[in-house]
Amino acid sequence: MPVSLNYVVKRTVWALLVIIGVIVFSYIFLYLAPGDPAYIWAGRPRGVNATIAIMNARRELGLDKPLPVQILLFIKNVFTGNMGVSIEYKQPVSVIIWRGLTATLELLIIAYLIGVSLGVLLGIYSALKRNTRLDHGLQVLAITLANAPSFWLAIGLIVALAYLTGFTGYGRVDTRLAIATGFRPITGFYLLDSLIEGNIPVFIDVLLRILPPAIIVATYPLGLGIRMARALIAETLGEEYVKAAIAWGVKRRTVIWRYAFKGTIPSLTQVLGLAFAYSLVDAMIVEIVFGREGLGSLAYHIIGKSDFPLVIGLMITVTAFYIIVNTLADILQAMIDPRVRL
Amino acid sequence: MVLNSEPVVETRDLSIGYLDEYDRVWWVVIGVNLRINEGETYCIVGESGCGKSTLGNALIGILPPYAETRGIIRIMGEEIVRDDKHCYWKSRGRIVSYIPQNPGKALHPFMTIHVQFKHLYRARGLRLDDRGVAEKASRILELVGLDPDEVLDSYPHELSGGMQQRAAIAMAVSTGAKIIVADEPTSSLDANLRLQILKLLRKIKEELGITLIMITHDLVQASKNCERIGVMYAGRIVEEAPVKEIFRNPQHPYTQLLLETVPVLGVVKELKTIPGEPPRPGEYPPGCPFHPRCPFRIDKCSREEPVLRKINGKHYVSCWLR
Repeated sequence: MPVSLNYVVKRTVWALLVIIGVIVFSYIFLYLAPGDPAYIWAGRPRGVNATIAIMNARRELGLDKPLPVQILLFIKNVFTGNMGVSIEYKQPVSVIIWRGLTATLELLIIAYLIGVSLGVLLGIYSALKRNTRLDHGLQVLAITLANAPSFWLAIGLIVALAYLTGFTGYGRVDTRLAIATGFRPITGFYLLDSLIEGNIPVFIDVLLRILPPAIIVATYPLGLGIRMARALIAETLGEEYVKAAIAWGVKRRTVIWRYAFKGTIPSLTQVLGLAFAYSLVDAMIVEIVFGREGLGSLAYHIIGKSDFPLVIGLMITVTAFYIIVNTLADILQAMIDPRVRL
Repeated sequence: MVLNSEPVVETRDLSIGYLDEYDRVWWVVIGVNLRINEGETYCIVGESGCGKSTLGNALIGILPPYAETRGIIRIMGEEIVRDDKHCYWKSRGRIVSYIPQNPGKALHPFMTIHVQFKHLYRARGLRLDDRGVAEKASRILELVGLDPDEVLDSYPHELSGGMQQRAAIAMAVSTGAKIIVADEPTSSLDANLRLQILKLLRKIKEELGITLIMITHDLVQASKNCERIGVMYAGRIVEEAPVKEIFRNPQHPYTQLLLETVPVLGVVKELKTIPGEPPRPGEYPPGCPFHPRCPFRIDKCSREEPVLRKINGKHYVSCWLR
């Protein structure tokens, strides 16, 4: 593994600093925003005892302390593994977020499997057929797909599917089917769970429900994949090492995959890694439109609820996701390109 | 050595051009006739932009898809190119191999030398396991003066420039091809390495009976290794003769001027340059392409294009003055 201890330490310290920064800024913004978490924690009390109830709630939540102390306490709790309790749901934030994260990640991973594989294949094809009508058509398609707003595409797909097939059942799984077949989530990734349990009906149901939103989320990596793969392959096809391989009689297919495509993988992972993190937000919006549970629905439901711990928990999750994805892209690059040492 | 009467590489009126986005063809190589014999070292000399690399690429079969060809290329008696039809798969890596200009870029940066040899052997239809590849590659690496134990599991960037070029030569040879086109094989190396690599090329050529086609801008380098030289200007071969003949008795004004630009050790003289600029590829002047820069030009030069004519023995020149 071409990863040095130095790199691991540097990356970790940097990640922690970023997360602390995110907590501080989120906390200050939430503090400045209107709304009172203590009021919601106390159960939105009315009448004569309301003031006392809210004061008690405030003390219970530690909101009576000065702001810097509150923030420091929050940071300390987060780093000791205590993300706090959601004001709105009165459940541990870690539990709520894990449920949402697995749902969103499942969607995102399926979308990326579709989008990246298809996009890169079409991009390579486009590069090999450069300046043909097919190439131009694919490029127009790519730009359209990468730039069309996903919520709008999502609405269009829902309407089209309802009109053509009558299918309107969204959400993650048919609850009645899940209960009837005794489906119990283990990891939270329903596709994986149903496979582990050997529950094929639920697996098919989950797959059918995840495909429409996944296709919508996949449009961005698909379009980006076509454009990036085309540009990068076209570039490596002009490289001296590809020319030499052809001149030395290496077969066309080997030249394309083992020489040209391999040469593009580091750049491709960097771009698609960034896009993967970006698509998290995309997936969060699409799942709201499709009525699926997940980080997006979670964020959507707590708007205006002054749910400090849950909002900050979400912020930390999204930030950590960005950091992890980019680190993985770096490591993958170092694994493929021997000149890169981390 | 038995010299085959049939040339191993032959071109007839070979012209090569590139299509631009308006579907216009810019002819870069014009009407080249080569006859290269078995075991010979033939050198194509010319300034950058004269079409010598394009000619080399056409012989190897690595022209870009937007290239247009006219004329015939025959290799080992087999017609590889006739006008826009070609069947390079018959020659590429089988009969004709290639030594790249810049070995640092010609070796794949993400693969060890061992893996790259494996792909080359696969391309020849040899199914070898890792040890088989190592054994076979070691023999060739030793031939080019590299230590197989040191090189095989290295990535190209871990080798020095000279070692990279030796490895590239080893790969070119490992294809088993008997004709090798070397496109400026030493231009990216320093003077000392340049000599070493030239010596190595001579050794390999003799040991394996290879026909070498060298492309270079350096007359001195050409004189060290070659038997015959073709001087290229503006896409045409303007003079062709055995090395000694070219140096002793250059006939084309361009060749004469080119020879005067060569510094001679121990002789103090002002280094000359050829006045004017070489024409841009595809924008060659009418008549003799060299006439705008030629100090001896006559009226005819700008009107009619001279053809390559034999003046004695193996000496050919295209100039109205001869």
